[in-house]
Amino acid sequence: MKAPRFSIRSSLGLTVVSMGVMGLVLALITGEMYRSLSLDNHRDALVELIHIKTNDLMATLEEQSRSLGLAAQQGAAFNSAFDQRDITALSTLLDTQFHQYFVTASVLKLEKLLALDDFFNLVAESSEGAKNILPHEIVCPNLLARAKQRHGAQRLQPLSELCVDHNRAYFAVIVPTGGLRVKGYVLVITDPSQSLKRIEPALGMPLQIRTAQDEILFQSDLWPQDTTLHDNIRAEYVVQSNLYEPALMLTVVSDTQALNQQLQRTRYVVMFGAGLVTLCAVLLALYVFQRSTLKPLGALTQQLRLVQKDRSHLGEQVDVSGNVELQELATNFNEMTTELKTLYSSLENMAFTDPLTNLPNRTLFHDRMAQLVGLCQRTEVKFAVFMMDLDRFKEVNDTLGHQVGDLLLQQVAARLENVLRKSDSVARVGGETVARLGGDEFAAILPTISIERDAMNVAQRIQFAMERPMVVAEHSLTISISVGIVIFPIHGNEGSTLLQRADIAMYQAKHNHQGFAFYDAKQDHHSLSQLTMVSDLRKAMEKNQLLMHFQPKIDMRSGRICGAEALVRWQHPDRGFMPPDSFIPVAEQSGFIVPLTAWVLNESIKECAQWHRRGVHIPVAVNLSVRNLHDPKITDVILKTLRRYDLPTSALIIELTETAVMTDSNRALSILLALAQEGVKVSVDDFGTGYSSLANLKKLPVHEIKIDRSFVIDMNENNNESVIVRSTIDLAHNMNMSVTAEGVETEFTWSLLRGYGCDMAQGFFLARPMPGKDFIAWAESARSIPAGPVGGALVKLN
Amino acid sequence: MLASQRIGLILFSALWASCANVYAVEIVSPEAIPGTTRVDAEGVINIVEKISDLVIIDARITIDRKQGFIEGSRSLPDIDTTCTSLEKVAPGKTRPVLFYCNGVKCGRSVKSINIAQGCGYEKIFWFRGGFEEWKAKGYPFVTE
Repeated sequence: MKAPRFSIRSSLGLTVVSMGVMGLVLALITGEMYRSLSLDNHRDALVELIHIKTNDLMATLEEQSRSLGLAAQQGAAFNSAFDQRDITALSTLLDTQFHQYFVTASVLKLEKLLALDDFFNLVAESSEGAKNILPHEIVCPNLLARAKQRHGAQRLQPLSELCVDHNRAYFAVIVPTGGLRVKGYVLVITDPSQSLKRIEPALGMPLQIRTAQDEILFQSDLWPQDTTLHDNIRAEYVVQSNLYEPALMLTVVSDTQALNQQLQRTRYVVMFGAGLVTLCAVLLALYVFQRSTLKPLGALTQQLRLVQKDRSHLGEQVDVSGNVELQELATNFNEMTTELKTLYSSLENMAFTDPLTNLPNRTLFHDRMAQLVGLCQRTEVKFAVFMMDLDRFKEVNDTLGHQVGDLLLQQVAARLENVLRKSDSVARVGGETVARLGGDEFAAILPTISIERDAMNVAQRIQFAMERPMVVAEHSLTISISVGIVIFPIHGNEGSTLLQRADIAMYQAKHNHQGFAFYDAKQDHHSLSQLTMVSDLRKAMEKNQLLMHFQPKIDMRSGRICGAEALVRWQHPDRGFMPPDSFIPVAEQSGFIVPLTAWVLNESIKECAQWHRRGVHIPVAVNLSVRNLHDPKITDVILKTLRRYDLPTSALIIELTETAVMTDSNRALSILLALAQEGVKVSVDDFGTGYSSLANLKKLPVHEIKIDRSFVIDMNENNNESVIVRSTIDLAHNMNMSVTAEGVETEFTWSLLRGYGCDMAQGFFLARPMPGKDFIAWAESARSIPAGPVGGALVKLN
Repeated sequence: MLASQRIGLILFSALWASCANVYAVEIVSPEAIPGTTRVDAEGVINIVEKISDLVIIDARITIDRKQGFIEGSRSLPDIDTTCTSLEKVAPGKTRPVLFYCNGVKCGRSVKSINIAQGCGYEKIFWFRGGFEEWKAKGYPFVTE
């Protein structure tokens, strides 16, 4: 799973905020604990309060009981009845007292009054009283036991006890009777709950009194329905008897709404405080963090961005104040960026420099040129571009090896640089670029050259600089250089156009052995780009713009037509007639030659098949390109086409240029052997232009050679050409090859060739190439021409 | 003790003394009266049991007596005490008599005892703590 991305600032903020939230939660919990604690304290305080109040009330009850006990024995009637043990009278007196007191003092609830003798034996008792107390029953016997143990003056002191009897709480007070000379006691039994009721008005809280057995003895009218409510506190106090038994349970309910509100307010204050503290902590932490970390980090990031945008900022030092880690980071960053600067500049150097000559390479050259073009397009300043190529450098490489070639290139580079740097017109301003584009190709930009004469001067100086022989590895080499010159914007206003045209000018210079040449649009055969040419050619084939012309071959002995050479013609819709020389090389380079050849074969053989049907049994000769020899299917294509039109293999002659045969003789051999085996004849075209000899051709299944027109046209009775032609014919015949002379344009030539024993002739004197339908007509009419010089009739047909 | 506190105390004592001089006879009872037996509350109860013909004389004025008195005591305020009135309450000089008044700050019992001694009573008991002590100790008393 991908971890979410946070900035340091937000992470820190989140941390502090979560700490703050934790703090708040803690405050809440503490508040709750505090609340619970204060409620407990409140409850404890209430219990304590009840305890004090209970003690007070019990003391009062004792006091009142004692007063009642003393009051009961006052008067002569009681004393005489007591002395005489008149039980009936005593009971009546006690009852009277009982009623009297009960009525007058509702603060005290009498349960029973008893009269005891000085040995604590029951003398008389009130007949009224608590239902639970049986007649003659002594409640709180423990009190009597305690009383019995007293002597002397102690017996006159009051003695009381809270006791539990029959699950009821009673408060008993023993009061001596008989004045200072004790003769008996009055026991006053009261219900303590009656007195304890006064806790409610005293505390101002609803009260409930229960027995130990949970029997409710008293409950306030204000006693809440549900005492477990949130806003209530129950405080319970257990009143214990003198024997430490639970006698009464006193419960008060305190309304804690106000307390709760107070606590709530306190909680809010605490939470607000905690929030405030958290906020302050966040702000402080962020401030410190900003100062110590974010700001330095920001400076580093800013520098990184700068470097990303523009490498020239590499190596710039960032001064960072902040914490130790960041300072260390900044130091490392500075070290790294310095290192990177070195690395980058060396890389840049490598990327834009030719390692052999240390001159700028093609990439940098193009870059500079694009810059200059952009600049000069705005300022309308002129500049010159030189394209230079060493003449016959390949021979140096081939004969002396690449190492020598490389050393030579280094010297050439040095001389070029020397010339261009020292050139007056250049040195003043600078900014010239000499570059090695690759191989033996050099180029230069001369930004200050604006007129052709200056450019010419520089070019001449370059030539001059190269004239002095170069000593390379003990070889003294003289090498010439061809310079093509273009001037912006005269010869083009785009970098690519300029380079292309400089290239053309250079080839022009090389071709004409001029040393240097300016671009001349008339000489530019490359104006139509190759790509356009190829696509046009493809369209031409589809739209039947390509035509097949056929040039007759005449048997020199019979004067009859003995064959025809198929020649492709292209009528371009915009550019008019296109000679094969202008598009065949392009087709060869682009590979389009393969379908083109297939098409030519098809058309030629189709035509030839028609001739055969019309009774003209002559073979057709089709030119194959050297590229066709690389096509493994070529044999198949040829044979299939022949079969398609039902022609014998002898009806086809394959023409290959001498150069094509010699360039790749092994491959040519295998293909030509295969074809020869099938019966297809092979003819070597343009013979004499290449470097081969007839001896070389001996290895190949060659049936015919065609002597190049350049020899034939210039033939005289005694010149070199006629010697070459004559000896070639003789040699070919010796090797069982027939000979065709091309370029027969005059009757003189015809006669001369006939005299040399040449087998066949081809040329304007005999017939120009013509479309298929014209050709068949021509062939049919010329069929019967007898041997001998053929006249204007044939020529007229063209 | 600090000097200022000491000075304060001395001043207070001096003031108190000057005021007390005016009421000295009435307020402060002596620790003992020569020729009499001083008793406390328990002593009263004990001698009541032992001496059956003991006369207890309440030397307070009647208003004070209304809040309660020791059972069996006879009322004879000091202001009314003479040899004649004593003879009526306790006939015979050998009769044991016990005097009490409100308490230690009440001088009436002392005054009555002086008178009784002057009349020639021989067995005089003095309950110096008086009714105040009696009540404080929780002993029974009666009201009219």
